Amino acid sequence: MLSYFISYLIMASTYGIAALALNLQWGFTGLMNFGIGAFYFVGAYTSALLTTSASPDYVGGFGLPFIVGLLGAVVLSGLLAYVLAFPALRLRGGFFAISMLAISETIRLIVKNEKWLTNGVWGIRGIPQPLRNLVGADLSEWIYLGIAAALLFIFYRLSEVGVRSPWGRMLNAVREDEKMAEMSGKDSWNVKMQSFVFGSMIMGVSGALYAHYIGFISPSSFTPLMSTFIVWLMILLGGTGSNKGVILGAFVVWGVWIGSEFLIGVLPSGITSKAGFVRMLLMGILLDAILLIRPQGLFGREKVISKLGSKE
Amino acid sequence: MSLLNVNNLSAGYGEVDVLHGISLDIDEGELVATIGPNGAGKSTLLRSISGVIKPDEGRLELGGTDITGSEPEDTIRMGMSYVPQDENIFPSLTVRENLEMGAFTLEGDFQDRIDEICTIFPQLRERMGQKAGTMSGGQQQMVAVGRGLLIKPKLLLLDEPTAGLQPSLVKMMLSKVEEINDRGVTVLLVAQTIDALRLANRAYLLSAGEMVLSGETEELLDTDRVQDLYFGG
Amino acid sequence: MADLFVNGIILGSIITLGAIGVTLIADILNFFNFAHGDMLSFGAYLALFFVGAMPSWGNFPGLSFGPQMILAIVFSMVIMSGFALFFDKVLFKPLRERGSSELFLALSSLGVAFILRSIIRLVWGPQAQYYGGLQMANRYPLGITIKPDEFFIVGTALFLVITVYLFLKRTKIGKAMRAASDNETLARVTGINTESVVNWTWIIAVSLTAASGILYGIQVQIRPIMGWNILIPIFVAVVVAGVGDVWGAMVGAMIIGVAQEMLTGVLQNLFNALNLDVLMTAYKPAIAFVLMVIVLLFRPQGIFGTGE
Repeated sequence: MLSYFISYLIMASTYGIAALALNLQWGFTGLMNFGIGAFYFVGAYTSALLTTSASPDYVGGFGLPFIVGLLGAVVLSGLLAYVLAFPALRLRGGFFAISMLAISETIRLIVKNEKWLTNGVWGIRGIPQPLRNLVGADLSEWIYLGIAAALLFIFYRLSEVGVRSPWGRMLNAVREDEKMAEMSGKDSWNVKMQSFVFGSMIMGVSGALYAHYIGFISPSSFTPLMSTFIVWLMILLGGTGSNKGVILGAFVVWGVWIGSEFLIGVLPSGITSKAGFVRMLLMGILLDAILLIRPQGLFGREKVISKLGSKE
Repeated sequence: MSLLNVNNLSAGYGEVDVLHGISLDIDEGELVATIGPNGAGKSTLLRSISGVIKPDEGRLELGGTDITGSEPEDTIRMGMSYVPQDENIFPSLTVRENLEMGAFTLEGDFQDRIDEICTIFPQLRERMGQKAGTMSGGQQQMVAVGRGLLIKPKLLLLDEPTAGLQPSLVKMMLSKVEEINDRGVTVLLVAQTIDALRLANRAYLLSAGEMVLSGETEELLDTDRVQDLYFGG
Repeated sequence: MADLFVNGIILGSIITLGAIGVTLIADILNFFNFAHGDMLSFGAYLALFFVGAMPSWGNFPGLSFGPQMILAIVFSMVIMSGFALFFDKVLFKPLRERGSSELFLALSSLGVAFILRSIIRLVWGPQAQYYGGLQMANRYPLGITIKPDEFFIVGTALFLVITVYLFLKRTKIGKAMRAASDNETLARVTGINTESVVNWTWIIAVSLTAASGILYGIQVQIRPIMGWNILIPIFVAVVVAGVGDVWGAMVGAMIIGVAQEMLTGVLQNLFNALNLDVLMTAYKPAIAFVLMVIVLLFRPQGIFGTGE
């Protein structure tokens, strides 16, 4: 029982980190990122390839320590975001969303097809948890929880400090109304880029944390549902713009997910495969219900859905 | 006989009100102008009356019927038509189609209505099949006003119909507005120029969202405020 | 090479129907409908259900299906339109009336996407399905091979596109839709029944999409993820052409279809020649995306866009 709870906490923390990142990009900067999966993949696979032992089938296998894996995840996610920023960030709202979605799908295709790089559909196994060999499986879980929680806390503090700083005020200006912002076009661009890159780096960490926890990743690890959609659901439930809120949203949504997995587990096996899709159905309905009934989420600012005067 | 009655109207966009406590009255057959500096809220006033923006406070009556909060669709059926200042035509539609849209709420055949519009604006007759977006500013204004007239409105709200027109066309448009009024259409006009103001027998001066002065045109022209508006600064 | 071009036209025909739907919704309802792909899939499955439920009346000569497919297409269009109107009244309309941003509407459509997808999985399961038997392609000059079904696909797409064009050009509500596309506020001011415009936008967009799904199902197969896979090329076609232009959407779709097929072939030859082991067909959607990036870099409003 306890181990389920620890598992829940670790995964929820991982998602909490991703939620903070998306909150930075959307809640504070107004970037509608529908391609979170891209950075999960990059972060997870980079870390995995750096830390696993060598294999004849694919590159990597440097067997480096966990921390190097994480750093690699951060660096490569950041790099990808930096490169994408130039074409993608110029695009408004819906166009940006489509682009991010397409990027995410493209990366998934690359992961799936480039066997020499990622071992294709067979995935990468044996991704190490830090210290596991030294302290044994049980204690290792606790340590991992500690690491995940620590990272969550660190990113939370960074985010809180960031949005209250002058930089954070610039983010606000960009999100509220670019045209009216008194910043120069160049400043506006820089701020958007920084938010996008930092956010993506954090998402990369989240992906890497997942990889090292589960120990195995494959092209189907990060489906649109489990990467992009679920994180959006988390920040909407928690309240975009509130860091505390989105973390809570992550824990609540993941709790519902795990809880439903329990319920599914006790059902007769003929139903279990279907039950996964009942869950998907409920998640979709939940998202739309939140948007309809309480779009500011639990802790969000009312302003997010203000009556648009410009419509008239 | 009062056709339009605006009582204590406050309205705006989002959380901020642009208009505060505006009241005015227009009788059938009148040609009334509203004037004021930029940003005074004249366009907002027309938008509120027509129903594009819903009032936050106050009451609107058209011919005795309460129209507060009504949609433009409904007030059009009651005979009130609104021609905005900008973006007042459908560029990718032809002239004929633009006018047809004006008749959207009409049942049955309206060819005679279109013919009548063409007697007011003869230039449109040869250009029925032309895409409105390819026409000159003056011609587009004719289409815009023509569209507004299609339902044979009792009350026409015109927002600066001469804006952006060449001086030669301004005179033409103003004479058309007079002609429209002579044909029995009550007109509430947002007037930016003194010539437009002179068409009206009465006017309201708006400033910072409030009704500051009202009265006969000639009287208003004598006041300092109105003088400043057109000749000062 | 000519064969690839022809394949591109066929693919483009399928994309066209989806793209017109997306562009109408983006233009008149002001958001990118991320549920469009799953609506496409759902349309295909509805037709599958209908065909399965009907007694067989034999096939059209040369085609892999019979008259019941035509009825199936109509059935699917009607039911999908009903679904779309339901989602509009229950979800999109309240959000619109509240003044929700484009982004919120797009998000909510993502929710609808997952709702539809889960229903498909629950009702029909994950396996690939087919309307009818396999077909042999016939050979034509220049190395072109075409299956008889493929004539039907292109023909149907063309027929539907022309029908929509005439609808928009000749009917009162069609003109009102064009007016709303030009200037929404003015449309309200003019007294156009915006409710009607919204309804017909959904009906047309979703009906075309359902047809697209069925044609795709005829061409390839019916799978739950089929629509999501083609969603990117559809979006790209719309973006490349510029939102709001129906003919433009068709041109954009053809460009994407042809580009996907031909570039895939060309690049594959290139990679083979360089001895690189890359399977280009897996990357077809990515090609569409790269094209989009290139077009947007040079012409952000799209090829036919008006730069609103």
